[in-house]
Amino acid sequence: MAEASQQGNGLYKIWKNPSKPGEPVVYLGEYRPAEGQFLFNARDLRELGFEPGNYTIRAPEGCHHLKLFSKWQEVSIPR
Amino acid sequence: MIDVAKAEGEAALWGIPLSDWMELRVRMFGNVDAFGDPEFDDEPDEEWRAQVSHVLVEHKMFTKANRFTECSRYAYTYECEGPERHQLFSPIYCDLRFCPRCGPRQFARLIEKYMPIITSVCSQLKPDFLLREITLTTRNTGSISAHDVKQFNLDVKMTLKALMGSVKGWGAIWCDEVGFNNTNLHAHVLFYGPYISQDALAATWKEISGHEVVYIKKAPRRGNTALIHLLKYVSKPPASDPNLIGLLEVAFHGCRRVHAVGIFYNFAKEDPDNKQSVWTTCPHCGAEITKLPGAIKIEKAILEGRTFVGTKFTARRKEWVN
Repeated sequence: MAEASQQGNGLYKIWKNPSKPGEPVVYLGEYRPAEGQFLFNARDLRELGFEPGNYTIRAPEGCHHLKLFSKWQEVSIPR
Repeated sequence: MIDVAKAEGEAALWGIPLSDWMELRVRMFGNVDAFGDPEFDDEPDEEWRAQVSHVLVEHKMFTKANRFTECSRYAYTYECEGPERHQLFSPIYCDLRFCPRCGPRQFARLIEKYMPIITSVCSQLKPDFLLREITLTTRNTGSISAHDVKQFNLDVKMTLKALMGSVKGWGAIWCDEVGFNNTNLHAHVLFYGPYISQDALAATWKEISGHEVVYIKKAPRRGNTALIHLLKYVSKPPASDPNLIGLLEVAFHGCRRVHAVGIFYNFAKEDPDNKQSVWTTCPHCGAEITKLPGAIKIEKAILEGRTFVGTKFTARRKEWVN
């Protein structure tokens, strides 16, 4: 796992943002992307079965690509 | 303000450190209220302190008023003399008797001062001697003055001495207290000596003070429990009403709240704060520490990454009054 993580292929964690005030943050689980994939877009999340909405994704700890990309990504799936 | 228990629970459930939980909140909501809104949270406390200080100013106690208002808001800074030159800070406390921040510190100091003699007495009780808890009360007149407090303490001392007469080896510690949000002055006494009947105590108290109500009972077997019970009154303010707190500070100006007589006076350990701070040396490397000139705001000291070193000896606190 540690080795995969260092290559950027560790487990990414995904949360659904609240769509209105008072709604809870929902943790959706972990996702391991294809090798070499560090960034996600709406299509990627749609393919994973996510519905329209805003999502926050955290890269695995210790990823070397964090020097190039943010540890956190926000992806919006439009209706 | 964030609910820390909930945050820790969610972070554990999601398998992320608490710092990531906070980053996530910041990303989603734009900010995270980790420490509460300082303006909002401090306002009631500052307002309460200002009202207490106002009473002190009305009685021309300007320095005390300033100390009470500024308690724990500024810090002295220190630097260690080691190669790392560690930066340290010590909050400036008001040390007033009825300050909610300083009360617990005074409690800790008094415990350290009196615990050795209580422990020693309990480990070798004289025949027929026991620790007892006595309460001596006064009538509530609706007001309290410095004269009342001084006279009351004199009456307590005279009563105990009258009861003990020529008895050797007795001792007592007492703490002046008022009822919550009223001016009902009374004393909680931890007494070590021979049996005293309730009737004898009441008669002597009435003869000397003119007041009537007294209680006496055997103290807990463990002396330290009895001492903690006695001194707990120092640790918390006896009123929520700022006006009353101010009036109590005025009434107790120049009067101690905690007194000792007999063997408890003679053998009490020296006041630890009179001699030294716990932190006489750098907590990181053990080197000597030097006070830097001036004082800075407490939040600045924290943001500068300075290490908290508790209370340091200051000239004003050569003589603690409790």
